[in-house]
Amino acid sequence: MIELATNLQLRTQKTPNPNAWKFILSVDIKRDGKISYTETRECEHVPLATSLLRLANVTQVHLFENVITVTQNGASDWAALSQSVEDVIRRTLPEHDPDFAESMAKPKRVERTALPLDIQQLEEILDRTIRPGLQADGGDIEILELDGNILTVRYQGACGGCPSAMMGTLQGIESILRSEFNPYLEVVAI
Amino acid sequence: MSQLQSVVISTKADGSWQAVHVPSGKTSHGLTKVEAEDSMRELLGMTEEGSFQEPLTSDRFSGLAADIALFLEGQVSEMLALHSGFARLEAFDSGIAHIRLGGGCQGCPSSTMTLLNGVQQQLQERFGEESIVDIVPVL
Repeated sequence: MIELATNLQLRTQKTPNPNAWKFILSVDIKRDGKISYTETRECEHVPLATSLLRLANVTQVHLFENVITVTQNGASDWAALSQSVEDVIRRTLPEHDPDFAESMAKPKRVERTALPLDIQQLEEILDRTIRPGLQADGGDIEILELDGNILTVRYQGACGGCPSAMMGTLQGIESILRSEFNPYLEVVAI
Repeated sequence: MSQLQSVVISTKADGSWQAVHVPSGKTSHGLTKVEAEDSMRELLGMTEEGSFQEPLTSDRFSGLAADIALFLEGQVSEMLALHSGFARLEAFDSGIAHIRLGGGCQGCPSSTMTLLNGVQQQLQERFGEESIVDIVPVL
């Protein structure tokens, strides 16, 4: 449980995606790893996330260390929405566990060392080359599957639905992975 | 020296360096970290100090057009600077603003979308929908 919620420091930061804002807290809300939710049924065990998703026009909530990235569909004015987001954070934080399980069905994340070696290698390259840039923008990328020369990935947080993530960034990722991993690799984002 | 924004610099397996401008996917290489950074600055049209060689255009305009140009050079460019980019007004006629995005935004396939979505919205909020009828990207 999080102590000192009354002394919580909270600031907002715009991201390059006009529909996504970062809410930066003085405490961690997701200590290990990161997670995106788009449906309340995925996160019924995390009241902070469900309450944010219930706000009108909010389409995604991304939690990473001390940052919550909230994405909306563009219909809400950020001045009003950011106030509602802040109210929800302050209300739910006292009961929030920063070590919450990511999903009720599979409570434990797969440790990276348990992943196949080629996936570990891909994760290591992404950690080194692209992730710091995506995380600075309130987003991230997740590897879903490597099938032959086809790598399927999914963007999270502010990067989801951002046109530059789907075009320029994806080409950059592909060219890096081609030079460092497999010259015939094709990267597909879903 | 000002920091390159949205650029990740890393070493490759062969010991050489690469810099990636994450939003556009532009990549530069070098034998040293400094070489990779310098070549990224060049790619983005920056000086060695990390500023843009691009002249301001607000002094070419007067009235509403000058206000729009200053807004683009100020607040809008500050936001685009998060991605090592900037915006300039090139022309303003009958409510149509001709805007050029440069730096990290230059040649980025999504900069047209960014212009249409983000910048138009900001301009209309600031100056009203009757003043800014439409915006046109200048390549």
